[in-house]
Amino acid sequence: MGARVDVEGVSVRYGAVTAVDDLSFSLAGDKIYGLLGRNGSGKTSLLSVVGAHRRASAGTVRIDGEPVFENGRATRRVCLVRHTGDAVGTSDRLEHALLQAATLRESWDPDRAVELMDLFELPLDAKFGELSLGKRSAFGVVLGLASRAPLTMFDEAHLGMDAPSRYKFYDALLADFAAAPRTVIVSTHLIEELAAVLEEIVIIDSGRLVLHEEVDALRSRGTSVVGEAEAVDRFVAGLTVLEQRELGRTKEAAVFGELDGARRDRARAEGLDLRPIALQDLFVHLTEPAGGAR
Amino acid sequence: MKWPVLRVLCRALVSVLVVVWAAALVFVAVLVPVVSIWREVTISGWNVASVQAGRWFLFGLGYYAVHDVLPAVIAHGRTRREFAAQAAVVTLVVSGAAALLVAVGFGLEFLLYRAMDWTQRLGEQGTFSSATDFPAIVWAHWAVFAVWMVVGAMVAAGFDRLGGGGLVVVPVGVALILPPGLAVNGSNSLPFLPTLGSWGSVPTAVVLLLCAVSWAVGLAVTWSLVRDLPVRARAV
Amino acid sequence: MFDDRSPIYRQIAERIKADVRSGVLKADEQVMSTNQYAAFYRINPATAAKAFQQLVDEGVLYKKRGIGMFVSEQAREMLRAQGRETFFSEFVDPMVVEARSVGVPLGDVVRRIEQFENGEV
Repeated sequence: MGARVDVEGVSVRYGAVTAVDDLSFSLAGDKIYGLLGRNGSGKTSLLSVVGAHRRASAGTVRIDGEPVFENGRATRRVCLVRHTGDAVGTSDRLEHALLQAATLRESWDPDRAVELMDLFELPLDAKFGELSLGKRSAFGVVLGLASRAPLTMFDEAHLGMDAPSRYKFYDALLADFAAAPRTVIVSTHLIEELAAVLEEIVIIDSGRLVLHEEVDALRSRGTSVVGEAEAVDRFVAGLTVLEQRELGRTKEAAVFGELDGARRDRARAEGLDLRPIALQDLFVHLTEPAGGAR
Repeated sequence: MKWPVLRVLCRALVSVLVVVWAAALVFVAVLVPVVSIWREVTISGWNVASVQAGRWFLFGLGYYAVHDVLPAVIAHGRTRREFAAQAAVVTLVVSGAAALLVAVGFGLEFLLYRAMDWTQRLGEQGTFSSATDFPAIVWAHWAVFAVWMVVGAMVAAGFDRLGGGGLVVVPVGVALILPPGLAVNGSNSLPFLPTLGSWGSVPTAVVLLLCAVSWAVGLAVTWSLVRDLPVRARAV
Repeated sequence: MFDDRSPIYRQIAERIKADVRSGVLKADEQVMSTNQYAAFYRINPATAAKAFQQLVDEGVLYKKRGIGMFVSEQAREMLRAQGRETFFSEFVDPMVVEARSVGVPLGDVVRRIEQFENGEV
C-alpha cells in the first residue's frame, strides 16, 4: 500500500537563498514518480522536507493526510535515501548498518536486504567509507528497497553506479513494485534511462513547479516545427513556444502542447515539417533559464 | 520492538565502552609496574586513568550519539522526539555501566597493589577515599559521567545546529560540569585544565542534586537544539 | 528498445499488433502479463497496462479473469483489413511523392511493381 503525498505551499530558505519557493503538488500514490530538475533546482531540499529530514521554512507536507515533520505515524511510512548516505557512518560496517535499519524500521524486510546485498555484490563486513561511490549508492538502494516504506524516495540514488548496476536497480525496483505497489519517488537530472520506468514526473526549476504529468503523455507533447521563417511564425502564433532557432531563412520552433489533426493538416499545407521532440530535449527546453515564453 | 533508539544506542555505545575499558585496564596494568622500576608507587594509576580520561570518553559518546546516530535514526523514519526521550535514558544506562566498570577497575587494582605492596592513594578527602568503597565510587562516577555525556550531546547539537555559532554552548557546558567536578572527590580539577580546587567533603545528597540539575539543564538545552535539527548532507 | 519520441504504450500496442498481423502471435494464444512485460522491457507496469487495455478496447486481445490476456479469434483479419484501408495513404502516396522528387517516372515504378507480380524479382 503506497502513501499519498501532499506538498502544500512548501518553501525552504537558507538565509537569503530560496531553494524551494511556495511549491504545491499532490501525488496520489502507488506509482513510480520521477522528480526532475537541473542541479540546484531544489530537488534535494524538497525531498528532505518530504522525508522529515528538515523542517520547511513555510508550508506543510502531508503523508496520507498527516503532517510529516516530527510525526512518528507519518515518518515511519517514509524512507528517504540520499546518495550521501545519511543513515550510515563512514566507519560503520554494512552488516552493522543493516542491523540498525532492522531495529529502527518496523517494515524492514531482512530477507530482501540480504538478496539485494548479493545482487549488488556488497560484502557485509566492508566499511561504508571504504566503498566506491557506486557501491555506496547501491547500498543506499538496498536500504531504500528493503525498508518497504509506503513512500520510498531515492535522491540521485544511481549516482556513480555503472550501467549494469543501474539496470539491476531498475529491475529490483520494478520487481518490488510488481510484488507490492508502493509510492516511489526517484530524483534525477538524467531522464533518458529512467523515463521508461516512471509513470509520472514532476519537473521543478528554481524551486518552482514546472509541470506534473504522466511521462508517456509527455512524449507526444513536444513538437519541433521546421520551415520557412514566416510560415513557422504564423503557425506557432498562440502556441507555447519553448525555443526558436534560425538558420538563414529556415526556422525551427519547439512548441509544447498536443497538436490536433486540423493543425497538423495546416502545417502540411504550409509545407512545414513537424517532428516529435525527444523527452530529454523537452526537459532541457522546459528548464532552460532563457526558456522563452512559458 | 520496544525502545528501538535505546537499543541501537546501547548496542553501539556499550560495546565501545567495554573495549575501551579493557584497553585502559591493560594500559594501567602495564604502566604502573614500569613506573615502579624507578620510583615507589604511591597513587592509584586507575584513578588517574579512569577519572580524567573517563569523563572525556563519556563526553565523546554523548557527542557521537547526536552527531552520528541521530541522523541515522531520522533517516530510518524515527522522530527527534523519540530519539531525545530514549537517548536521555541511554545517558543513565551507559554512564551507569561505565561507573560499574570503573569500580571493577578499582577492585582489580586493589588486588594488584596489595600483592605488590604498593599504596593506592586516591586523592583528596571527599565522596570516597578507598578503592573498596564500591557504592560511593559507583554513584559518584555514575552521576558525573551522566552529566559529561549529556554535555557531549549538547555540544554536538550546538555545532550541528548552529555551525560555528555552536561555540556559544561551550561555556554552558563548562558551567554544567564544573559544580559536579568540584564536589566529587578524586577529581578536583577539570581534566586537562589547571586545578580549580575542591569544595572538600560535600554531602552525598548535595552532589547528587548538583549532578541531577546539570543533567536536566543539559538535556533541556540539547532538546531545544535538536528539535528541528536538519539532517545535514554529508560530503561524499 | 523504445524510442523517446512517442508514447511507449503506443509503441507496445503497435509491436503486438505487428506480431498478430504477421502470425507470430496466433489466435487464442496467451500474451505476457503486464508485470512480465514491464520486467522484460524494463518499463513501468502502468505503461504496459495501458497498452494492453487499448488492445482489449480495440478487440485485438481479450481477458480471461484471473488467467491473463489472449489474442482474439478475429484479431488478425481485423488488423489486416485496417492495414489495407491505410495502405495507399501510408505507403503508396509517399512513394509517389518521393519518386517525383528524385525524378523517377511513375511508369518505371509501375513496371517495377509488375516485375514483382510476375515473379521476375
